[in-house]
Amino acid sequence: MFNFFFASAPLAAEKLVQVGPLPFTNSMLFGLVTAGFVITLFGMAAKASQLWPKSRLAFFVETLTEMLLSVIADAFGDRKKALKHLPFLLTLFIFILVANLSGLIPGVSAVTLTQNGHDVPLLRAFTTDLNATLALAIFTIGSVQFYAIRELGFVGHLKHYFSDKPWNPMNFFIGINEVFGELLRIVTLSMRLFGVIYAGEVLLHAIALLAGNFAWAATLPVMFLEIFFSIIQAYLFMMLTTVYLSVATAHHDDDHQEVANVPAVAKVS
Amino acid sequence: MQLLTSFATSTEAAQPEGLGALGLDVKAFAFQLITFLIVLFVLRKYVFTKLVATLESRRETLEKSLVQAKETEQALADAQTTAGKILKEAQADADKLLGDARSEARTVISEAETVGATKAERIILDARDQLDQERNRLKSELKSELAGLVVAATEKVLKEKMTDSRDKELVNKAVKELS
Repeated sequence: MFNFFFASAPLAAEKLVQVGPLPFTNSMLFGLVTAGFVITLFGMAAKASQLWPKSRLAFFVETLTEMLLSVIADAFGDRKKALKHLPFLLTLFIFILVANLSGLIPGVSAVTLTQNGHDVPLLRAFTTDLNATLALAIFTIGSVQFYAIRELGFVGHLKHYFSDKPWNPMNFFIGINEVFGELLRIVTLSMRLFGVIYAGEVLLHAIALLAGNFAWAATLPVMFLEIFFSIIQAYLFMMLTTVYLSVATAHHDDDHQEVANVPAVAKVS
Repeated sequence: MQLLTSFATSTEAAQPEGLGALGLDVKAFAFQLITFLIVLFVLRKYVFTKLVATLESRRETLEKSLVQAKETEQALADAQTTAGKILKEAQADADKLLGDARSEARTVISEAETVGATKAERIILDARDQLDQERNRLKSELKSELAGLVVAATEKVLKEKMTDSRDKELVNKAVKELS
């Protein structure tokens, strides 16, 4: 049976050049391009932003920001808290979204570089590299822990896991389980994003190979599906981070209210 | 197809297996993290500060406008209530004034009627007086004319000239008989 995975792109990002001790890969290059694009686009929007909007780009970015701010504020149940975490959450959403969509641009994988006798794609989406998604996940969970400790103190934060009586064997066991769950969040966040986006690109590649000359027609519906998945994954990553932050920084008295504010999608995840 | 299969097989052979196939590498991890941190830093410092400031000032402006609209609405409602009250009071005043004017008019009319009636009565009385005077004057005129006629007639009947004293006597007698 034909192995589509290896016929398209390998699981790991491919090295383009060696820069000192760093193996510079195609996902790093496209990650930098994506970063530059996001900074330029949002920089232009921020420059044109004013009370009475005149620039369409600024208006679009402001609308997106306002929309996501309202969703985040709903999850936190506190607009002030939402405003505090907005830059981080919005950057996550935008950067992941642009990175996801960047891999779907037609012809991206067609630009190749010959390395050791075989062609290596010059560009590979940032989120199709597990190193990148793992970096995002670890940074996210690290930030959640940082804000939780800053908000509640170290002991207060530990109470989230071990309750008020950690010497009780059951509470201790539950606490250990919770801590393990926290570590598992890194794996789920990174693997989910990487898996869905990478699998989407492989699927597109496989369908294009199977369809031959009609690849453009065969891949079109899948392309729309992948655009949808790209948006969903970016949103999911941001919302899960929001919920983790909301729950971790909630005071004990607010726990019930915070849980009530958690969106259904987060409860399932 | 055969070419692709052979390519796949050759590529597959070159790929590491297990976790190694995922290409996890500390340096690559750090590089990707730094890329994201740069984006986060720039957006947080230069972009979202301005965007959030714009959104907040827009929200404040909207909220202020809404409060103003509410105040205007309240002021309008108050003004309408006041206008209604004033209108009601004006209506009551107008009704009262109209009532007063009507009663005054009735008084004036009745007074005018009284004065008119009095005047008419006086005119009638004056007219009667004048008529009486006229009648008396006519009566006396008629008397004297009648006396003359009687004298003339008597002279003709008696064919004699009467003396002044006889004449006067006869006249008086005749007048007495007539009246």
